[in-house]
Amino acid sequence: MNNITIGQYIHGHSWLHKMDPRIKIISLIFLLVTVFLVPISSNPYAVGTMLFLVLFSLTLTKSSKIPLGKVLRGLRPLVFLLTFTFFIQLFYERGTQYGTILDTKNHLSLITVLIIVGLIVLYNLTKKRIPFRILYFILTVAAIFAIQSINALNIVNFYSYDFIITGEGLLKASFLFLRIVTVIILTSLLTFTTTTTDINFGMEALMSPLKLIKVPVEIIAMMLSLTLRYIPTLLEETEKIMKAQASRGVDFNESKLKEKIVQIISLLIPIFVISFKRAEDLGNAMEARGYIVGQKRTRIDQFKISVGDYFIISMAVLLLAGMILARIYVL
Amino acid sequence: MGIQFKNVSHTYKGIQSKYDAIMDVNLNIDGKGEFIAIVGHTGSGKSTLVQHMNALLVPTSGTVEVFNTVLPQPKKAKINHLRQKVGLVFQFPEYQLFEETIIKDIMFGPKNFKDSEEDALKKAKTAANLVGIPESLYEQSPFRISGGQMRRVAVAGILAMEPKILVLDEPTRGLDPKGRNEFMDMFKKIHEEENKTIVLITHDMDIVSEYAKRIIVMKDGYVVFDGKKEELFEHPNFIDFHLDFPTPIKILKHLNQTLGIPYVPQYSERDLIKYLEAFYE
Amino acid sequence: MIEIKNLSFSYSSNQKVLKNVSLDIKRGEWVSVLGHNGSGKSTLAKLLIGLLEANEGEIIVDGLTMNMKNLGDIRKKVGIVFQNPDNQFIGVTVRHDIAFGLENQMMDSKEMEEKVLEYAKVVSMENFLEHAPHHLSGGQKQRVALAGILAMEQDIIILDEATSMLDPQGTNEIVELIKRLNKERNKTVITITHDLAFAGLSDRLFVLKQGELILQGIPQEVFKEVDLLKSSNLEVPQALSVYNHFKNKKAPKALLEALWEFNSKM
Repeated sequence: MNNITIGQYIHGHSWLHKMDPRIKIISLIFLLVTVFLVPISSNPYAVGTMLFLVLFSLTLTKSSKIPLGKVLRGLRPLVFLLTFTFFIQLFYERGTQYGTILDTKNHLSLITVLIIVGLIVLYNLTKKRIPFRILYFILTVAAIFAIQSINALNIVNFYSYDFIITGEGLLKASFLFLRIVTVIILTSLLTFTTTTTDINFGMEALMSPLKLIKVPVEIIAMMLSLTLRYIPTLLEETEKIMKAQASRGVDFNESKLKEKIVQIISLLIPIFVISFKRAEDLGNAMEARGYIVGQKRTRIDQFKISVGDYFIISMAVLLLAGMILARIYVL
Repeated sequence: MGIQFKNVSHTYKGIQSKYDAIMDVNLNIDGKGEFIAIVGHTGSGKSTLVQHMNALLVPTSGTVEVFNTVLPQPKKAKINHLRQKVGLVFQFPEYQLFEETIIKDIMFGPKNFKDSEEDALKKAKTAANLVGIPESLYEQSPFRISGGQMRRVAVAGILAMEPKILVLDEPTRGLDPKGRNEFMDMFKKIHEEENKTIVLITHDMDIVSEYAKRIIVMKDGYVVFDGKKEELFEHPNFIDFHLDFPTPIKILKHLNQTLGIPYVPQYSERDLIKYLEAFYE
Repeated sequence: MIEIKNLSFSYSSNQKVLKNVSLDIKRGEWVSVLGHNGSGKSTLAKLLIGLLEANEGEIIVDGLTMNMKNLGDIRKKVGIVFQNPDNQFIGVTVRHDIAFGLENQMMDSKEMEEKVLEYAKVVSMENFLEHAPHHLSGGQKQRVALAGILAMEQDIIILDEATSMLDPQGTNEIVELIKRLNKERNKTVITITHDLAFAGLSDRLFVLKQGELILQGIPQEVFKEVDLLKSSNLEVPQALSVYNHFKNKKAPKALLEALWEFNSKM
């Protein structure tokens, strides 16, 4: 019942955990930019750099002692998008500078369309029983395309097209894939090894240059902190209100649009009412405890940038600089 | 009919842990005429137990039969209608109000169960009358009345559904003494006039003592006592239940000790006074 | 310690929520302000901490007459714990919440860590410093709120219906804490409540009805006014009510003594 944890922080003692959050965030940003700067080409340096960055992320994961499985699980919600992007890149790239891997004529005919529909239905019915669902999904997609290439099934043809997989397409798709995977791994590492309060502090520090143009950074940070504090509470309250409304006959399983609107309103309004009352009470409580908007205040959490942190940020800067130089001169 | 619990357990499964909220519960609640108080320390499983009564929760093992429907049901089965038969009022029910006007909010329940606008209005007016919400307030916004009145509107919203069994989770929490008395008298009236079964979760042993006929005591997820209130307070293991004695009984025990007045359990202030007056005649 | 003179307040031009209230509270006293919901008692609490500005009258705290300019100084002397445990828990963890007031006072980090630990121990929450609020019970959250106020080391603590939303266990924890704070640390405590059993533990009572002070005195005296209390939607605790009934009926002395003894044991 009280199992909601804000963020995904997993407790640990690795050097990644102990890093100053400001340095962690800035280094992450540098690394992310570096990853995006790797050009997509078959140039061995480009390929090498990409693979290096992937390996680098995996090494970071290992040293953080966060199980790799957990980190890769962050990819799950993106599986659909990843596969889609991968295949789009694969098929649309027609440049033949790297050779052609596959060149067939695919047919959408009565038979093949029926088989495709059958495959999709089969997938949806059996997906819950299959352990490696992502692999199963990819195989199903591959099968859908493979079926279309079988000439013998081309009865009552609707449409035929050239299904070409070129080396360039494969290259581009792989690069994209690896890029996304690396980005996910790196950002997951940040959220797994840094508590929400520390992330908040890091963001506040990052935003502090904005103070020069009169952006109220401390106030934004306080709002962020309060939001984080209240998310689990609000989730619990939403659940309670759902139960109360269900007890009055609201069927949350009903999916008709009209019903859905009523369901949402019956949840939204009470949550709004609770939140407005909360805002008023909080304002009173904060003021009574001496909080004055915009006034300077100290912080109980202290952060010191250690030698190790300087080392890491220097590395990140070097990597990025190196990448920029490489782009200009070599790649 | 009514509600039957057969070997019911409910385990909450978290990401890395599980929590046994209630275990091996066997209970029968009649569809008519009962006035039951459910008591027990915080975390003893009372809330989990009552949420099975209107199918908000289903057992993770065992079965609950609610007015002839056996739970758990297969996944897509419709169990919504059970919530009309067993009306559940949560703690701080005023948080469920959301409609534009008070009367509309009270009508919300009946309309969800497919009552016509006319029927829903009729039921809503009856319910509003029962809880003491005057007609002058019908068109008011439910957010412009006092907290106590909001709670009455929320209770009316459940009563308007005309449930056969009324379940209440600490209905008097946060109310001032007058509010508390009015609410409890209201439930007593509903119980007596319509012979409705009322199930009440409460921590207030004086309320239990004055209004309940049958008491279910929960401890660490188990039902450790289920019987008449007269039996509970004389129970040899009463100390293990971690409950307080109701005030009239505490007074009588004290008077028995200090003045030797024979101990004959009384369950309300009124009865206590009557007993003492009779004794001193 | 606190003097309230002819205090009146209304939210809008319509109804006065407080009408000409005057009362005094001595240093080290534990007083309770009783009243029905809507009697003006919570408004009084907010006025005492300067969250509202009185329309008429004045409030003098430890010699300082409250005005809109010296609220900072007033709040160094008066702290308040509100009713809703969730709506005053500001920090992401217990430790951060207790520190909140100290951060506002610009205390340095090391001193804050010491004070947070010290006052967490006073309320028995020292093992929960890294806990987030949604893992805590209502009683625990209110204890943390109290710790946060204690850490600011004010002389006067107001508890505005701080136990109304708690179960008996939580209420008990807070009551025991208040008893200790009043006796051992000589804090001046003002409890705002409609729970007469709770109020009966304090030194003096003030009863508000529809914005007016209708009754004040020590619990024994106030609880005799059964009809007046009933007209304010308040109810004397059962034991005392039984006692009052038999006192009026001139029952045998032995019975009255025994009933009185029962009351004092509570």
